[in-house]
Amino acid sequence: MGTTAVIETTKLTKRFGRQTAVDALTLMVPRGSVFAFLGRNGAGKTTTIRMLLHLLDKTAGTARVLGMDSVRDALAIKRRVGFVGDGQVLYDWMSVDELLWFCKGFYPGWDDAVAGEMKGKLELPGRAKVRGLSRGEQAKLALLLAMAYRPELLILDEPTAGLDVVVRRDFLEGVIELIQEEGRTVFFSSHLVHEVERVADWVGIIDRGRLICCRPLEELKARVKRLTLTFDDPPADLRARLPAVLAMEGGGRRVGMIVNDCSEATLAAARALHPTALAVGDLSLEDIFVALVGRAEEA
Amino acid sequence: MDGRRVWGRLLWKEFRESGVVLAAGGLCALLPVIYRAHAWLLYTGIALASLLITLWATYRAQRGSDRSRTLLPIAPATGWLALYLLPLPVPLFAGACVGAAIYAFDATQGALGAVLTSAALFMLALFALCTTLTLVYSAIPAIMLGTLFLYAHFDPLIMVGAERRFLWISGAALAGSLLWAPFLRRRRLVSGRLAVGVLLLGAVFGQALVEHLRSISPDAQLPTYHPYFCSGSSDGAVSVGFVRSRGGALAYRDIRTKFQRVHDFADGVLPLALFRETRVVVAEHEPATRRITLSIWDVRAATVREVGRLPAAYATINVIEYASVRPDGRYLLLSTRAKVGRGHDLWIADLERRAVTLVMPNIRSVSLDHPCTTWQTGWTDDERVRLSGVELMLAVDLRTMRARRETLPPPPEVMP
Repeated sequence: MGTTAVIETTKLTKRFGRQTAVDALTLMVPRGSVFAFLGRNGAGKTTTIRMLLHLLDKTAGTARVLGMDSVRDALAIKRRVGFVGDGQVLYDWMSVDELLWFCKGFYPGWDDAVAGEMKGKLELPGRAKVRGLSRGEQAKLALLLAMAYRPELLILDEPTAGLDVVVRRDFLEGVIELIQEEGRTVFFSSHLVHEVERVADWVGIIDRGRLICCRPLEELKARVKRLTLTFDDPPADLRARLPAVLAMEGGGRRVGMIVNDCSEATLAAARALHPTALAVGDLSLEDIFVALVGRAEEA
Repeated sequence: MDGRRVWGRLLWKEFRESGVVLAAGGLCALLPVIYRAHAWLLYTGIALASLLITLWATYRAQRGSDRSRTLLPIAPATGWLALYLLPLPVPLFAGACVGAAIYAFDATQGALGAVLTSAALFMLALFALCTTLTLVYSAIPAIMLGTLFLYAHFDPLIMVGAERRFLWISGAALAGSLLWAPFLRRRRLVSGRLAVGVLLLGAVFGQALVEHLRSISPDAQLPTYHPYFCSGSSDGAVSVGFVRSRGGALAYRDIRTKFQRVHDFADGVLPLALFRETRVVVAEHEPATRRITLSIWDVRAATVREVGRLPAAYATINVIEYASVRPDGRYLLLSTRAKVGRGHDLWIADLERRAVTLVMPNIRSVSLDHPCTTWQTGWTDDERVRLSGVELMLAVDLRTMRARRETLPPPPEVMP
């Protein structure tokens, strides 16, 4: 995996009693990427992130963040990693400016210019109490606090959960802009897949604690396609005769299939079924996610 | 990173947040000083200040383990220290205010410094206990045990003079929070909670538990015997003391003859002096009338006879600071805290005529120690009694019941 990985886990496992929340997760997040860590509610995304930041003890395995051990170097990691979590607790009795001043004391790399510029861009009122801010403004403030010390890695754990569509879009655009400016690595967890698609260039999908997919988004979208086959007389065991079928849609003469690897070999196998028509269609990340998670569930 | 900057920020946050508690705690405690008309105000002030510390410590500890703190790049040890160290001025200030109120209210004896220290340590113990309980368990048990702790030490007389106990409880609470960390890391939560629970319960209720166990044992009476004073024989063989497991019970014991007798008085009894080997002068306090009655307990005859009553009303019997009885049992010299002023009132009780006379009010003396500890009485054949201390010499004429200060003769001149 080498030095280009900012997050590297090997068989990372977390068990709560008899329940396994994260099961032997081996993951690599390349430097400079915007990595979307996707999964359903309870899939193990937040548990993984909490282990990476040593907010939670791991049961087994190893995790390295920015080349440092997540347990031994937890303090150094926290100084170099920005984190925005769902419903992050902020000292709500402070004003925005007070909170910025307070947090500044803990980060040697704090940049007042960045903080001031972001405060302006995100339109945060300096004198307003945190408790008086809307949820969207609080999320923006959390982002500001995470970015003001120029972290090498930004971890966002469901940062837009609970926000309305307009604010979510606003927030994500803010994130995109900042990322484009700085070229940092972003590790982005969400279950709102359609929103992540606009931002991410790498995708990891976790389901019930297991990593079921980890590759660049473009590669994923190039490989996972919908094949639509039209037959006069459809064969009986279609699914078994085509390799890497994730899901089947429709029935009768017109059959849709989502395949995991839309290679020449797969297309050749589809043509061998003698359909009257064969169409290859692109899928959204959400469709791919549903197909992959559905397949994992079947398995 | 500059550690001072981190501590500075944490300190700023602490005092921005707890400033109101600081002010409210002090005000609650000092309420009785501002308006001294009713004794219940003293208790209300103490209760409110203590309750405030209980709730605030619980709230802080809950917030102390929140994600906002753990996300900051602070070492766990720094976080732990911040949880205990930074807010300490708040309970100590509230305690000092409570101590000042107790002292100003004349509710107990003792020097100002001792009273302030006791009350401040009481608040410290309360704070440490509630913080640790919240960390290990949750807010509800912390509030429950904090309230029980408050109830157990609610009386200023109990609070003052229990410094060592409060220090022990504070230490046990801190040890409990340290003990908790390894259990937490290994996820042995049940055994960890059990260990910390036993430690804290032992610290808070250990003494009471031991006494209770002693009281239910068959030979409980004398092992719990607590000698209050020894007198009546040159070898100190005769002693009178409280039976701790029985409120108000006094025990007389002569170790030469192995004679022993226990008598049940009402709560608020104080043995004052012993004469003729088997007669004990006791003082009893009636809360309803706030009067102090003097009685003679004849141990052999097992009778108690009232022999006088102090004309002034007192909130507690602990105002009595010094007593001495004439060997024939006719007169009793008694010193109480002054009703007016900071000194001592001196009384002579004629135990035959049942008359108690204030012979000198508000005797002042300057001493680092409690002045009464240095006092000595000399009963003379010419119906006088002399009271002398480090810087005090008084003579009371028992016929006229008049006291006058006596001056020391000038020091002998020393040749150069």
